[in-house]
Amino acid sequence: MKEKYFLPNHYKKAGALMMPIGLIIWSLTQIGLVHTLITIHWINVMVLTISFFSFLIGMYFISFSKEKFEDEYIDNLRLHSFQLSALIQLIFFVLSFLYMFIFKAEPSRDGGLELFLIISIFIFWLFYILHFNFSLFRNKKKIYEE
Amino acid sequence: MKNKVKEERLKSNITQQELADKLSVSRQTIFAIETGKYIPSTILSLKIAKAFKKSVEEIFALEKGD
Repeated sequence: MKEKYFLPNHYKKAGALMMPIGLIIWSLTQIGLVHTLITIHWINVMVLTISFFSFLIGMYFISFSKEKFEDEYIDNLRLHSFQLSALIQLIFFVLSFLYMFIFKAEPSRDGGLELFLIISIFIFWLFYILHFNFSLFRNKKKIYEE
Repeated sequence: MKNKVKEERLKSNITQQELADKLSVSRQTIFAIETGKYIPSTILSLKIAKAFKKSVEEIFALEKGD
């Protein structure tokens, strides 16, 4: 995970804008709210695709952009967040499969399986973004409190 | 591992930011080292010792559990 994988810091701001907007529009489209406003099918498909990719690219920008000051401590925080996220994802998988096994509730109806897989993948990245940025914020707050 | 970074910094009469600039790290890193939350790499430990003109052993010491 050396610097060749990272984007310049200003991509983080772009990502912070793209990700929530993409997620909100994608969610609204998924629950059918956009369908009631726009009845033309291809526009709906386009909105769905663009919003989803905006969410994905935004997430990539946030996850893989450098901090203003990159050093070994930030690397350490990043690694710690990755490890915790991997653990959370594993726990989510185990609990989900246990739930499906015990209650025999397979997520097959209304794109349930698709949604389950999307959540399974994104839970890693969302937790990573939240944990890493919260750790940075908490540290900065402690410094100013001192 | 315990360290005397804060003591040495105060003796030298420099701020966390000044030490961070000297070592080319962030102020967060200095704060984390001083509070014992982060154990620096060998390179950074050597740089810290050099900044205070001391040996690494004078700044960093192992604890019982280490």
